[in-house]
Amino acid sequence: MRFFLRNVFLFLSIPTAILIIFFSYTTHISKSYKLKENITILISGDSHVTSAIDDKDMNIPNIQNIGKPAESIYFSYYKIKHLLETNPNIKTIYFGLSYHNITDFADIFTKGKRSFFYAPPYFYVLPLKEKLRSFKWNSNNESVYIKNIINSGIESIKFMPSYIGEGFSNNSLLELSKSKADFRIKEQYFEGGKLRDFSSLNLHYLEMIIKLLDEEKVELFILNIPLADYYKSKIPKEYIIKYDEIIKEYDLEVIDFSELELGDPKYFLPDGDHVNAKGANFITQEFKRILLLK
Amino acid sequence: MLFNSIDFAIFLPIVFLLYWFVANKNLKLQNFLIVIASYVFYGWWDWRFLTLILFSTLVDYSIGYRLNTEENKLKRKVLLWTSILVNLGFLGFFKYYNFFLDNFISAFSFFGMVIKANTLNIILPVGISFYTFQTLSYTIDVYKKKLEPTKDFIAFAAFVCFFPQLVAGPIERATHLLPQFFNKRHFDYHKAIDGMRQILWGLFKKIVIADNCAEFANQIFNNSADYNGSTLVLGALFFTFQIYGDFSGYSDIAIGTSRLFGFDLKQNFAFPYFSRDIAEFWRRWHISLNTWFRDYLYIPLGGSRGGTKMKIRNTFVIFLVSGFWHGANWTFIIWGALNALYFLPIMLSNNNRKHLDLVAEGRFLPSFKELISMLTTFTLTVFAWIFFRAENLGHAWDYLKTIFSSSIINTPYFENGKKAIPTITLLVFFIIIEWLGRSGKHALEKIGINWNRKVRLAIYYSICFLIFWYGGKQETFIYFQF
Repeated sequence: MRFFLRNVFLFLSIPTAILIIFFSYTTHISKSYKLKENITILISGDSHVTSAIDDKDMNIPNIQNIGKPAESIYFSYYKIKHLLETNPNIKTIYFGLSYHNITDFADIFTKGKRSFFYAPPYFYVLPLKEKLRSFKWNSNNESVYIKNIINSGIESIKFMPSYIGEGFSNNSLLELSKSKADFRIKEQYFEGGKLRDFSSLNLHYLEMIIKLLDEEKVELFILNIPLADYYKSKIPKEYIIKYDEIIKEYDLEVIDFSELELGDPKYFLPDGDHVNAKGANFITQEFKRILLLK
Repeated sequence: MLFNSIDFAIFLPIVFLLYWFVANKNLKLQNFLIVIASYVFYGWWDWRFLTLILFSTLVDYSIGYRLNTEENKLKRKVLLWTSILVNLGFLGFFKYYNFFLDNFISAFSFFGMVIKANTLNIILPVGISFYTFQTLSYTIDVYKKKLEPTKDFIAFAAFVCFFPQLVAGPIERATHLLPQFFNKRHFDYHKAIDGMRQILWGLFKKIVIADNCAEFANQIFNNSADYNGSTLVLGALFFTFQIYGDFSGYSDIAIGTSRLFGFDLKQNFAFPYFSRDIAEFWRRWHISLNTWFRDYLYIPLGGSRGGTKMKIRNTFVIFLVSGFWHGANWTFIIWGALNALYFLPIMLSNNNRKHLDLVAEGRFLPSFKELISMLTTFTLTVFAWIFFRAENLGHAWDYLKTIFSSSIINTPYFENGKKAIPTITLLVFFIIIEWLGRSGKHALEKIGINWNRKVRLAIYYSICFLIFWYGGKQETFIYFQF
């Protein structure tokens, strides 16, 4: 028996040691990563900001779009918290917040059926308690989840920590499709024909971001990226009211793109939820104008 | 609890250490530990259904006990039928209630009579078909006086709920497994190491082969109307390997785990896709279920002893019941009937015991004749699996119509088709290893056993890496639904 246990232990110890070394190294790389020293303004959020604001096209050297598609507010909090610790130069954060971010649809990327794919990039910057929570949330798909964590680690070694996000990405000129927009609305705001709940997790972490930035004396602005008129008209009023309540309750300053009057279908991707390349160009230039006025 | 989960990876070493280090001095304590561990294992999925297992255990234990003292033939028969009705009653209710009700309503509506009845939202208890057949084998064997009934309730409960094979078999006979609970178990290093190898290969089959094939099989079967004939053939092939990897993988993990605890379970799959005819296929596929049906249904019905009509009847009965055992759907029944049709010509021409040996025994490659026989059998099997996998008969029919259309000559195409290339490469590797290891009880039993230790370790690490890296999206085992 002892011989058996010894052999099993030895057999497992080699891959275990390799994994420990790998995780230590990738955690070190992820945690010690620093943005360029001149960066003082960050744009954070999900695909709304990555598809709308081309930071490189603005010719403003101290700004970086660190948005990442499907990033939930929960992960944004830990990402921002970590970046503020390693990059004390950051003075301003423009945070993308839209109506869909506060529905519990957003939770599927954090603790639901798609989290095994979307959660791993953030694993290395989560505190231990949250790492364990993330494991629990992905317990029905843990092997793929672990594999994706390792893939994120390899990406960190080869390029840069994958939680940072690749920034702006949008070259599509497709236009709004009403059926696709209807599908998107149904997916984001309804479940089984009933209105979805608000995401208590994301609402809690939104408050945490506000408090954190307040403590760190970092300015916070909310970016409500324009939506297609057709799509916006279909958003349940409960979410519009809740959104306005949040803005009012925390006295948040929202960057207003209303002057652009961008609701026309030709500026939006088929889902009506994201701008296309044409819409992105308008938003980028408008955002640049707003920044230069400040 | 799934074998391919972190939960089981934690559960197994804990039970193993308690079994050999804490409970090792007392046989009853070891059996009791098995019962508790098995109930935890099962209750992890849904603890409410433990009451079913416990009730089934109590019924069969009591009936077995009574059968021992009862000499009156009529009363013995009543006792036997009580056990059969209770066990099959549960199975019938949980598995077949809605099926019979739906067909009952459809049959009456065919004659213009409208019957209003509500189907029930019934959850099928995992593994009910497996443990029901296992406990039935005990009562029937005691009734036939092939087995002495046990007075040890804990040992009997452990036999019924033994966690490695509780939810998806192999379906063990009481005559084989129950006596092992009365004998002191000694840890056997070589047995345990071979058990670990079998677990490793079982995990490879499940996680790498079955789960990856499942992704493409599901995609193609679920959207079959969108694809051409050649793509549907590919979908059927993916399902063919999915179901084999899934089910035989489970059996390998179950048998390997049992060996760690000093138990021997019977081989459940013996490389069935290398069969040279359908009769051989059915001797190598799901052996524990097929021998169960042979011994408790086919032989009591007269087996192949009677005339041609009786042989045909009995063959159809056993294959139809086997199909129906898999699920309450006409697709399974047609799958069974199709296999009966495959089998009958072989049996009626007395060729059903032609291939009892190992294919290409002692040779590296099969002869041309053997290769053609294997490919023909495999093709027939793939064809039958289409019914098994289809949602309903209409779906199966449409699927086959597309396969047998002119679109079969087109190149297979489906979304993310390129992603299937690693899976196909792994399938080739899998078939080679299975072929090389076909003389063993599992593929890794004999491969490389005399090779240098470092080379062997490198092979095992490579398999671990493949499991980890190429593991598909975690799917539950197909046979859990049966």
